[in-house]
Amino acid sequence: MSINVNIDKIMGNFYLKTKFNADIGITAIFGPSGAGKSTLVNLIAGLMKPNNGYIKIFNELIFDSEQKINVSVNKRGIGFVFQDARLFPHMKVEANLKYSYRFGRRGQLGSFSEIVEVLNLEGILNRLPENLSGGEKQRVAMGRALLSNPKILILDEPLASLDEGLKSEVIPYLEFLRDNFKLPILYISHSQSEVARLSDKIIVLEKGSILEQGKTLEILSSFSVAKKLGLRDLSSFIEATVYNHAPDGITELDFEGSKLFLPKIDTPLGRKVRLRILAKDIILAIDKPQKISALNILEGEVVEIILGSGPGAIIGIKVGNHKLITRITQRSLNAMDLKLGKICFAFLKSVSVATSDIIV
Amino acid sequence: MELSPQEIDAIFLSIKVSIWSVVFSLLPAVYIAYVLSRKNFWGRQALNVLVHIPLILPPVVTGYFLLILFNRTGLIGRFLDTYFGITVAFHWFGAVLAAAIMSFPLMVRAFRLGFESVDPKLEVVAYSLGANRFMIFLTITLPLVIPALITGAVLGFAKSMGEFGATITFVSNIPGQTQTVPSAIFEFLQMPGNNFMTIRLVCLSLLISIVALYISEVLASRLSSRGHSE
Repeated sequence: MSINVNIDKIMGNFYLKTKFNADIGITAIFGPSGAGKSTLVNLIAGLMKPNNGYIKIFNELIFDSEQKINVSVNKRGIGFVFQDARLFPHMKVEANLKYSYRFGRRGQLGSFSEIVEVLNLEGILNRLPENLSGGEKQRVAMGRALLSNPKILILDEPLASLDEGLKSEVIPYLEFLRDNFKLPILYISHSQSEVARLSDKIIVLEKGSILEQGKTLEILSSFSVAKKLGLRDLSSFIEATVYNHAPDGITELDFEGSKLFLPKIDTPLGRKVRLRILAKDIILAIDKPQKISALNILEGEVVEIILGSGPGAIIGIKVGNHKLITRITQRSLNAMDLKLGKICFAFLKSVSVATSDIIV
Repeated sequence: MELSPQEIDAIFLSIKVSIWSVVFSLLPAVYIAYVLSRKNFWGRQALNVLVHIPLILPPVVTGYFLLILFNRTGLIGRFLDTYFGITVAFHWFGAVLAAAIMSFPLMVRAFRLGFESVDPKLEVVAYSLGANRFMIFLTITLPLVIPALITGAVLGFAKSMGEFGATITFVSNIPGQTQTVPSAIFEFLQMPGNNFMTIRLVCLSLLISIVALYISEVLASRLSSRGHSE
């Protein structure tokens, strides 16, 4: 593992206690505000000192309370991208990008021209930060961090201050960065859809402790996590592969051997997309119906039944390696005689997967 | 309308004293302002009060303290005299000292406002990019604070031009040696029939102050248009 963190920090009556590993690729640190995400970032960055524990990056201790190791911020080799970009306002984009090379850590992760090209910065090199859009600022901030020869990257809510349009402009760059630089990246966020789209691994923080960690789509689809975090819309997160754009405006996807039909999306054939399906948009049946307007019918096994205190129930259906969660009434549950292990059919109207939920 | 040699001496001395006063206070004032705005340490409030004392003390009292410390038998004066052969009391350099001490709090205040307007988060970013503390100060903090430094320096210059109480107490009012513009005005006021000269000097000192202020405004706005903290 390229990042090993095991630290405690007491601040007033807030107690942060975390132990996790992260590897190359994006690891999301996810949680509501006040969960301790920023504190964790500050501790890893070296802006705060843990009371106890150690932090290792590629087997090199950058902090250890027992051996009294505390490497200073400028020598830790961590590149940052913050929500507010934090470009140096008195320097042009080019000088911002070259800051590390001129005044700080030297070394090469990618050459200047390479990074400028990848992040599409040629046209704005001579501009001052005040004349950049929010998305451009974030791209410059990414370039600046990459050019500082970092061993790891920490992206602290990099999209939080951008509107939807700018977000979708920046996200492809984040994906490129994830896929083309072999870097461990910690992605701090409170946004389910960002985390679902970008990360493979997730660490869920709540009140200073790790609530859950594991594969992003699994954890986000877990009812217990959703309940503990008070997430409003219980959803399943699944991954499917685009295999056909039909002439009638329907995109066909392969999901665990079954077909899924969605209103047309602009994703090339063969690409994987991640979808978010709201629990309340799934209907269950025991028999496979023949003539029905819902296009998507998935066969699965009941693996989870959680009775709520009210009239509702949560049913988990295992489809291949994915779990779909759905919310039905206890009355339906009894009428259908659903039991663990029973095979049933989940229907999903194709329009109920709105484009905003398609987290390509 | 020729200026008398006494007036010319006074004007040049005032300008010389004010420039040196700013030159000498600049670095310590920048350092103290930086420390007061960025660091938390034991005795911070005490330092803050100490810096501001000349602002609230009657100038005559500040001059008196200077006299006690710097006259040839005073604590510091004796040291300077024995080891360096320097006497500052009743010397033009004493006027510099008096002006520097009196304008110091104003400069520190202006600089401090400047430092406080620089977002410390930018310094954190520079730190994470591998720069050390000194480099960060030089490349991030200082360039962003320059407009405030100019404003503060001009304020210090103007205050030094106008310093009277501490100066006359410390170095007296010797024409051609320690007589600054305010001291000259004071002397002319003491003697009947000098109304014209008084008004002339008053107008001149007014003019110098206004020009200095104008230059600082122009410089500061030109520099700050290059972008300040977001």
